[in-house]
Amino acid sequence: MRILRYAGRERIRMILHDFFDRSNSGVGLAGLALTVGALWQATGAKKAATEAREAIRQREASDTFSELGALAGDVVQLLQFERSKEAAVRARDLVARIPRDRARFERFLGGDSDKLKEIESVFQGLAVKLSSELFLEERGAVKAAIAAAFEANGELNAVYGRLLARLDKEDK
Amino acid sequence: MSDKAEEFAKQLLEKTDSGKLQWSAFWEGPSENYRADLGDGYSFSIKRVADGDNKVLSFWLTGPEGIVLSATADNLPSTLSAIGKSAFAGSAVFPSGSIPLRALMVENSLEFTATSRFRLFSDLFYTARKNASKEVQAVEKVQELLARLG
Repeated sequence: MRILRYAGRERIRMILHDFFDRSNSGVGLAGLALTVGALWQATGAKKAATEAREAIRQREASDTFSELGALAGDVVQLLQFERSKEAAVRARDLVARIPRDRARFERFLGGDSDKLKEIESVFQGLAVKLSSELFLEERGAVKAAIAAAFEANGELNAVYGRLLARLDKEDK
Repeated sequence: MSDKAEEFAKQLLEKTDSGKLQWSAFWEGPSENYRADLGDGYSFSIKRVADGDNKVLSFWLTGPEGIVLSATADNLPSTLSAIGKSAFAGSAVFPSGSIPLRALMVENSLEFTATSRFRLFSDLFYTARKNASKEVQAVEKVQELLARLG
């Protein structure tokens, strides 16, 4: 009777042991599944956040180059109206902004990074010349300055256009 | 009338460039004035009044009985802001891409007229100035040569 009772206790102990063993495995498996799920979700969230950040950067790049184009257009118009001081201020703005924005958005620019350096040097030349009081007091000088600004403005807008085309392609 | 003035200004520019027209300099107070005599009492004048970056250019034709036609062009902030306001109004009132063609044409023609007239008169002014300075140099050279003769 004692043996039987002992066997019974042992049996219960073994049943409990097996039960806990299995439930532990189950909990472990469930934990693993939850961990994998959480990891998968985290990776997805991270990817979504990265994509959102990238979209914002692309939008910033597009806005920035649109502003640079508008600024270059202002320089052309101010030169046409011989408002040299205001043209000089805008040209200096471009000289300061082009290298900064070029460095900031380099990876969206492809081969246009070097083109931007050329554009920057045109506006730098204009800014230096415009700082001279008598620069726009001669027909040839005015004509040359307007032509240079027109060309640089065109190039800048072409860079902007190619940037938009690249961004459109990436979107697709 | 100002269209006719622009037409004359273009012709004067071409004729001065090809050396067929002579300009003389006159100063009246703060203004710089150049005149080309055509004969028979007719002459063209171009005058610039400048104050810093602000410039007003006047162009006129004088006949035996006085001024026949005149036109002005300027780069004053009010002129530029009129162009800016027009462009701004166009884009503010109508959503992007739906600006009526007529509004765009008015806006563009206002900008084109102001820019092209200022450029034309300014080019004529600088050309007249250069031409007149050649005349002044020639007169000085002749005076120098005459002085050498004793």
